[in-house]
Formats: sequence, structure tokens, C-alpha cells
Amino acid sequence: MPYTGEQLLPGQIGTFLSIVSFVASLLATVAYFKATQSQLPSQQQSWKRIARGAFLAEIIAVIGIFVTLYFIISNHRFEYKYAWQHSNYQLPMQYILSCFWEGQEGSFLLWSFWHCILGGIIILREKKWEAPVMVTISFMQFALATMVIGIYFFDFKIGSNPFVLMRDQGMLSPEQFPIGFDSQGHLRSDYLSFIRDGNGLNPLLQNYWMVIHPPVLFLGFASTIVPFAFAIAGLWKKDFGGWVLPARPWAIFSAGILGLGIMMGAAWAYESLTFGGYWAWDPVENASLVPWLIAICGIHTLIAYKHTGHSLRATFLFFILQHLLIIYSTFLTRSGILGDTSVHAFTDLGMNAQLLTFLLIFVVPSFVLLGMRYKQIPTVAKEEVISAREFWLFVGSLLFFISALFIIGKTSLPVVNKIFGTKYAPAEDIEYSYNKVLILFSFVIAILTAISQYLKYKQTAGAAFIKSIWLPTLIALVASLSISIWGDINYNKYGVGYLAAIHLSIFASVYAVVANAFYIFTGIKGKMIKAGASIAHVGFGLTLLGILISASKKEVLSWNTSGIMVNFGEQSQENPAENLTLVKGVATDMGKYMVTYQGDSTHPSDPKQYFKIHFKYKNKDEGFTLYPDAFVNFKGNEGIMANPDSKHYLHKDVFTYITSLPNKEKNRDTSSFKDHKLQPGDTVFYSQGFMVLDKVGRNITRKNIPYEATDSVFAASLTIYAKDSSKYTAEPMLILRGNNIMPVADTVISQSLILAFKGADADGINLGVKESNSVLEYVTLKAYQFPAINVLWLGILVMTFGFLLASWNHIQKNRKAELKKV
Amino acid sequence: MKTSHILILVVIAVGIGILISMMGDLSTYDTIESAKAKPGKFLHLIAKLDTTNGKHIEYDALKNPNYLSFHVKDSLGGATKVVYMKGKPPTDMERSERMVLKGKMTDSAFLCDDILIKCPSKYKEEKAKISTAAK
Repeated sequence: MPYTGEQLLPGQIGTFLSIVSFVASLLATVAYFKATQSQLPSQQQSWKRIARGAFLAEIIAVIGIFVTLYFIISNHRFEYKYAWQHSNYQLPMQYILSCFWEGQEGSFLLWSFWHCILGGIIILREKKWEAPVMVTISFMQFALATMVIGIYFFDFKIGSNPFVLMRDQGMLSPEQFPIGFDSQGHLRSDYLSFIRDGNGLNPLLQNYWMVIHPPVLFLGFASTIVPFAFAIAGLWKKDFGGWVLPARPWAIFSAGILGLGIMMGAAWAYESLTFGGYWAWDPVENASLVPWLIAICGIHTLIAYKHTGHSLRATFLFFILQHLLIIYSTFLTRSGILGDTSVHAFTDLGMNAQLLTFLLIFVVPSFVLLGMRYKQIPTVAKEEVISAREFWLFVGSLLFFISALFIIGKTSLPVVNKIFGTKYAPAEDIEYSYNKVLILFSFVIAILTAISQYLKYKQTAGAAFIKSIWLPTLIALVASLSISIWGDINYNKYGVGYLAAIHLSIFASVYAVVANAFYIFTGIKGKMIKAGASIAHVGFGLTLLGILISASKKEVLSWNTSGIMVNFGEQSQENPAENLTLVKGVATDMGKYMVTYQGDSTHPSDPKQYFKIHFKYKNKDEGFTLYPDAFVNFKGNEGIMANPDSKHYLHKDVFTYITSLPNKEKNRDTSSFKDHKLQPGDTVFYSQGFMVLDKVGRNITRKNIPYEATDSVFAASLTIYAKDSSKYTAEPMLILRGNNIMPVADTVISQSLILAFKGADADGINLGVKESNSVLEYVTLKAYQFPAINVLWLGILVMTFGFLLASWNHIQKNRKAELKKV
Repeated sequence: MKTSHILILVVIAVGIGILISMMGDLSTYDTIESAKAKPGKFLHLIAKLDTTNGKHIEYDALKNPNYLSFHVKDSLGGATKVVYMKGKPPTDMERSERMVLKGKMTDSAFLCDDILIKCPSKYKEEKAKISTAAK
């Protein structure tokens, strides 16, 4: 039966292209494999031609799928499940892309898209290595194509097709969507006209970082395959050293982009999530950090190998592992295995068997190949000298590697539980359990980062080394000591030992910055094209410094000091009370500031509610206003989803977000007025004090009361004396308009009082008194101060720039070397 | 002794050190019954929100924005009161099908540091709520 209004063509095109992509990537894999294995150049060439054609078809198909899916989402074609699930009409245009990669299918496509781009460049550029490298990449494309193909192989579902229709997926049922069904229980042919809007995008993802962070991160993910594919190709072709130089710019580029992508995620977490920081050692974060750490190891051992012939085996291992760990992280985050330990792991799509196969099909052959060839990989028989650069490069890589193993080991706890049936859970203080170990590593690694470039390959002469390094060492000492002494770093939550480790690490990271900055001028004589490594090291040092200072000096501003806290029995323990409730219009003491909740606002085209929070310095007549916002009761889900707002200073950020709002529904005003007969001078008691009726008259002091000139208006003036010796006035009124009596109540917000002038007779006036929470407008929030967070962001930018520069430099070098050969 | 041997020994020593510190940090997943057997010990409790017999979530930001209490039960029949001293109830707490609570059991209640909510997945929602309101 045809359904009116459906556009089935885009879905058919998309599904068709998915199949094309599936076939083309398989064909490219086989053809490149044949090209690699064949001995005759003519055969090689013809296989290569087929392979290139197939990969071109793959590129076209993937881009086609991308465009088709984008078309479906941006045109709100709600007959498609993907569009309905991830978008709605309210969504601003810039977030349509976020919808695209919110779902599993979209993010797999994004990943696949980057492989196409990278593969295309390899076909154009890497002449000798094209065929063996592209075998791996084409195979990866094949694996990713199976993730979005969505076909049944016997009873086993392979992949999840993003082009499925709502009505085919059991998404529409007579119970949930009665209007779309006729009396026989069949779907009406015009059902689509009743689907007025989509499900929409998770509000946490409605942030500009979510538009750019995923593409960059996935470019990082995707690019790790290139050095991996080179290493595999080197093992396969038994050309153990030849792949190293062409792979180097790729490896450096990949590490740079992956690092940037990870930290963009951190920036998003900082700006949009409310765990109060940029990093929480969440499994999702760890899973992408670990491949980066190992890629860095690989780059450093590669350099050691290139100059001295040492560390080749380690280089193979690292480049193979970094990519396998990317696949492992995909498995961890998408299989739902992290369920109990992560806040934001993807949900289980029911594709676990396929994800596990995906992992094993890369892990097993890689290790088998490495194991088979391991003995043949050339090594240098002579031991490294302790004073040689290559020795310390290796030591540094080893430390990085151990810290990576540590992190992935802790993250994999749920996997261990699953395999061995144990019931281990993460540590009580998760952050500290990571930090206390890694701070020691960071100290040693930062020192090595500082001095390694001053060491010479093979052997370093002591005198020359000291001559070149004493000045940066001295400067670093002075700088870090001034931070330690005047920087007010006294983070004593975990005792003196940990504080000492922080100070030592601050020295080490300052040392890394200073020594590498110096090296640009003394070591490589200011030749900027060669300075990529030093710049990246400066950035690494700054990043570390920013992390150390912002984490150890993070300050809670919203310690609950307000008077409205009631002391409970269980309150007495040392748990931090970081939530502070601000009553509208009442300035509240918050450290250096007096903070006032001034009001809130909404806009019809924006589902968020904005809260105006004014911070005023106590000691000067200045201040600033922050506008944290929140989705309130989003889509009927009770509660709020808050986004923080920060005041950025050069040296610190003041950061605040809403944690709770009065629940209007729940705090429904259930209390009722208690009536009192009063004459002027009489007193009425209430729970927080008493009030006195001063007089009843016709003089109105309140503003904005809606009465007309013909009305008779009576006002009762009251003075309220609260227990805490504060005094308030109130003026409930009675408006007589013809035969109608309209009482206009008055409220005393800070006393939760509502007073109503209900009538009068000879005995006096009738005053209704009600005490109710519902009159109070308030917000509960947390506020933090992050010092030196800009040092961290600056460090990331500098580091990324250094990586890209180094990558560029090595591309140029390789090109020149090639020209010489010809 | 060659430098590489020293290096390997150092690595092994560091590795063992880390492993020991890791094992010392680890806690366990427990049921309410087994948590009651070891009062004062930090653990992860897996349970479900209990709102039967008039039990309710108690939170009043005006009285104390850092005090939350509620009741949980688990499939083995255990039940306990939970006190959380860090703020408001997590979003969708009432709709949650499972909670992971981190904290310590005491005589009066389970003192909780962190609440992780597992909601029925939005992605696996079999029957969708279709918005049919005219725009």
C-alpha cells in the first residue's frame, strides 16, 4: 500500500549506496591484496588499476551516503527513523550536523568518510607503499561498511542501516500513535501527516563544540590507521625499516589531530556538562586518550630508530597497538559494557557480537604477523649508552606506555568482571586513584621532555650538555619556585606527599616549557620549520602546567553559608556542601562576591531557560553577570539539564551552573489561609515571628496595582517582625469595583508569607495569613573558580601547531629525498 | 648487568607498585544485604528506587540544597534508606530502572557519594511517543 507524503527515493539511494560501499571496499581489499602479492609488474599494475577504481567507487558511495542522510535529516523527513530519532523542527540549523553524528550509524559514517579522504591522499602520494597500505585501509572500510549495512545473514543482524523507515521498525503502534491508524488497526495511508515533529537532539549535545569536536576526533581516530597500515605493510613485505620515513608525517599528524579532538571534547565537557570540570577519568575519555599516549610512544621510538637503529621492534608494537586500541575503545564505548561505570557511554545497540568480531579480526592477525616476523626485525647488538638521546627516548616512551597500560587497565575493569565473573568496582575517589599514580609519571616525563633534546644521539659529552642546559634549568627553577611560593598552591586534601608531588611536577612542566623554548634558538638556531617538535613539547609542558594548577587550585565558591540551611542530623559529616540556594533578589555571600539571582528569561525559539546571576565584588563596586541556562522538564522528563556559564578572565574562570529549581508542580501550594480578626495595633504570630497591623486606610504606597479611578481601594499596612530581628512591611489591599470585591494579596518573600485582606466589619479587618514555599522564587547552584585554565587551552593550541608543523616539515623532507633518488 | 636489564627490572618494580595500589583502591559491587554485612566500607550498591508505602524522595532546596534522601530496594528483598549529601536528585531519577550508588552503609541509612542512574534507553524505545500536536 502506498503512503502519501513519503519520500522513499532518498532511502533507496542511501541503501543502494551502502551496498555499493560494502562491495567496493571488499573488492578494493582483494585487488590491493593481489597487487601486493603479485610478482610481475604488469600484473601489479592491472590489479592496482582495479583496486583504485574500486576505492574511487567507495569514496563516491560513502560521500553519497553522507549527503543522502544529511538531506533526510535537514529536510525533517520523519518517515525515516534516523531523522525522527535525532532531530526536530525546533533545532537550530547548525545542530543538524550534531544530529548526524549523535547516532551510532552517523558516527561510523563520519569515521568511514575520513578514511576515504586519507585513502585518497595515499593513492595520490605514496607510490611504493600504496598497495600494501591500502589493503588495510580498504579492509577497515569494509568492516565499517558492515556496521551500517543492516542486513540479515541467516538470523544474525549485521549492522544497523540509517535509512530504515519508522513504520518498518515497529516504531508506530496503535497504542502510542492511535491517530495514525484506521479502525481496523491498519496504518493510515496519510499517517505521515500526523507525525508533526521529531524526537529531537539530546540537549547536552546542543552545543557548538558538538558540531566540531566529533569530526576532529574522528579524523584523529581514522588517521591512526595510516601508521598502523604502514607498520603492517613493513612486516608483511619484510621491509622492516623502509616504511618508517613515509609513515612519520602521518603518525605525527594523527597524534596532533587526535590530541586536539580529545581536548575539544574536554572543552565541551567544561562548557556544557556539569561534572564541574574538563576531565573526569571517565571511561569514554580514557578510551581515546590511551591510543594517543601510545601513538606518542611510537613517534619517539621511531625517531630513535631513524637516528640509531635502536627500538625498531618497539616502534612496530606501538603503532600496531595504538590503532588496535582505537578499535578497542569503539568496542568499549558502543557495546554497553561500560554501563555501570560511565556517564556517557553509548547504549547497547545489540551489535556486540559484531563489534567483538570487528575487534578480533584486527587484533588476531596483527599479533600473529608481529609474532611471526618478530625475530627477523633487525636490532642493534650494542647496548645504548646511558648518556645517549635514544636511550632516554626509549625510557620516556616506556613510561608513557606504562601509564597508558595503567589507564586502560583501570578502564577495562568491567571487561575483567565480564570475563572472570568478578565484581570489582572502581575506587572510591576515582580521580585521585588516577592522579596519584600519573602525577609521578608526569614528573619524570616532563623532565625527560625538557632535557632529551639537549642530549646527542650515540653519546653526549657532559661538558657541552651542561653548558647548553644550565641557563634554561636556572630560569625554570626560578619561575617554578615563584609559582610554588607566591602561587598559593596548598592543595592538602591528600596530604603533604601529594602536595610535594604537585610542586615537583609544576617544576618539571615549567622546565619542559622553558628548555624547549630555549632549544628553538640554541639547538636549531631559530629555524622555525624544524621547530615543530620543540613547539609541541612547549605545548605539552603548558598543558601539563595548566592541568596541575587548575586542578589543584580549583576553588568551590558556593560553599553553603546561607542562612536558609537547616541542620540535619546526618549533615555533620565532612561531605562537601557545594550547593547554594539563592532566593530571587536577595544578595548572598559567596567568598569574594555577593551573588544575586536577578531573574530568568526564555525565548520562544529557544527551549532553554536562562538565569541571570549577578556577581558583585565585595571590595569594589564592580561585578559581572552570568547566564547559566537549563532545559527545564525537557520533553516531559522531570528535572533540569543545565549548561554552565563562565566569566573568563585571563588568569581564571568563574564557572557556575544551576543544580536545582523549585518544582512548581510538586510544591503546589497546599497550605491554606488562616484567618485572623484584627484591629489596628493587634498582633498576629506566625512561625518565624509576628506582625502588627499598623492601620487601615485609603493611601496606597504599592506601585503597579491594577485599579481604576472609579474603584474604592482599602489598604492594610502591616509591619512584620521576624525572629532574626529583621523587619518588613506589607500592604495587602481590597479593591471594590461595583459589587465585586477583589483582594490583592501581598507577599513577604524571604519569610514565605502571603497576606490577604479579605474583608472588614465593625470588629476589624479579616486578614488571611498563609505560609508557603510556593511563593519563593529561587535557584540552587554551584559555582567554582578555575585558575589558569587558559594555560591549558593555550598549551593544547601550541601543541597542535607543533605537531602540524613537524608533520609538514617531514612531508617536505620526504619529498626532497624522493627527488634526489630520481 | 646490561642497561636493558636494569630497565626491565625498574619497569617490573613500577608495574608491581601500580598493581598493588590499584588493588588497594578497588571496591566491590554489592547487594543491600551484603552491604549491611560490612558497615562503614566503601562499596557500590546496585538497587532500585522504592516509592511504595508512601516512601518518597525527600529534597527541599530551601531547607538544605545538599540533602537528599530516598529509599531503595533490590531484587533479593533488601531495602534501605539512602542519604545523599551532595545535591539534588539526578534527572529522571523517578523513571530509572536501576541505580548504582557509591557510598557506605551505616545503621540509619546508606550514605551515598554518587548516584548513577540507568534509564530505559531512549534508543531502544520500541514504541515511540509521536508528537502529533499541530504546529
